[in-house]
Amino acid sequence: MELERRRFPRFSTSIPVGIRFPKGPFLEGWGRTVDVSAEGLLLESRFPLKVADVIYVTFTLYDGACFENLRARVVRISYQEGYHLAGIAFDDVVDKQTMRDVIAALAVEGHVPLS
Amino acid sequence: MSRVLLAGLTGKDNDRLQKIYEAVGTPCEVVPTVDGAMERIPANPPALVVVKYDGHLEPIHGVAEVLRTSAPVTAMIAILPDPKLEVAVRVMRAGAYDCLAPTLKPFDVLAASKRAASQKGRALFVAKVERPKKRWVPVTGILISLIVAGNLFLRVFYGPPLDQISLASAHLTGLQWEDRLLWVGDWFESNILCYRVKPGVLKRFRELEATALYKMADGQPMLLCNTPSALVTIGTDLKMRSHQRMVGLPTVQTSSIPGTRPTGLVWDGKNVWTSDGDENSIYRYGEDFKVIETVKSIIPNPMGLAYDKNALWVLGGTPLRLAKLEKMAYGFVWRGPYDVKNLLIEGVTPSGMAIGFNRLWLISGGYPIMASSSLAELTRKASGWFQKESSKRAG
Repeated sequence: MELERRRFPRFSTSIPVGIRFPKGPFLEGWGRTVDVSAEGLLLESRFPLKVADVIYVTFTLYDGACFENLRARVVRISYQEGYHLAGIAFDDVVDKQTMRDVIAALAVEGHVPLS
Repeated sequence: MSRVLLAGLTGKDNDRLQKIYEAVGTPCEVVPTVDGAMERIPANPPALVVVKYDGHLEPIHGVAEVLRTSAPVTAMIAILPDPKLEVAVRVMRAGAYDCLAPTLKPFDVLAASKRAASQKGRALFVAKVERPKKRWVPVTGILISLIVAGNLFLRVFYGPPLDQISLASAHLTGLQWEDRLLWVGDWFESNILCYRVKPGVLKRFRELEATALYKMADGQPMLLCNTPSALVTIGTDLKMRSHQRMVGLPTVQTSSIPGTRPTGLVWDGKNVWTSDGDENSIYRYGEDFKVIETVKSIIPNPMGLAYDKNALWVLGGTPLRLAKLEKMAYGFVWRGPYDVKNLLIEGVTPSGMAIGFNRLWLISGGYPIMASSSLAELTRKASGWFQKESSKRAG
């Protein structure tokens, strides 16, 4: 049996995400979440992402809880037929406690399916 | 068979998308309006709906609702007028899986379509979506070829003139090439002429055209050289003068020269040099036209002097020979001599010498033709000695 080593649980959900790039060929882009946790999210996007890139993500959960321009860093990347799958971690400036509470509440209410 | 429904798109976008999908063997159905698409979808659900976003979310919501109720395994992607983040997120929240923006690149269209369909469990096409490889090699190759071809063309276009040129005067003395300019003195007319080599693809088009003519008021030029600050001449009165380059060639400075038969006058970038046919010597002058260095010529009776590529070239002797004088840290080194054949008519003495376009140019008194020969060919084989010669400094 595989042990779950993450500090925060992940929830599978496909939410549109807006991405802002501080540098690079694009200023902004978009994608979708594959899963979300209080620490970060797995994002799929056609816009190029590289490990260690700093990006700002904006997304709104189903209950209307909106997170705008969260500073995050790309920690891993994979590629599937035109889409970059990027594991991104929120920076410390993000209020993780609030996010954890929101995501946990949504999970309990069934808005966000558990992975 | 999986098909794509194109709804509410312009004719241009329809054509473009149809081409892209047909390239992977996926048929398209075009419905001019979104309302038409909403009627068509329940009747025959496609694998993917591509909808144009025209600034209103209602049609997107409408299609999403139809898909949810009548075609739950059909995905939707939207075409945006501009790639704006806020718009894209709004449209995706309304039900589109992804948004595309102009220009609709085949790679992006196919990647988004395949992924959107596969998220609903549909296989739109099997071909793997791969980013088109960047054609660096051909592009770089073409660029390099263009640069090389351009360079070659410019080298030809700005190449040397004909090997033999008629200067239409039999009283010419003193020659100096200065890039594409040729300075010539006419002792009889007391003129100094400046010619320019016309650019041209063929040698015969690269003629000399006169660009300036200066009449000397106080002398007849035997020899001349152009320096950045003044035009320097040696006249038939054996005086060296520096002139302002203006009408009448006003004399700025006059000085006597050593020897009685001056045969060459050049500027090496720092100093003026002269040669004397009787003294067998070459002289270097300071700014005040005082001799600061004397070098014995290894060629007897020097008849001409030229400067090219950090070396002085001396012409003289019988038969005519050429030698090169290079300045080293420890003194001067002579290289050569090299035979100079068939450049002038037998028995005619050169009255002017210059080096330009990697060629040796000679002109003779009483003969209006300036003839040239490749310096590389002339200096291929030395015909005798190789000797170091120390100089004698004045003072």
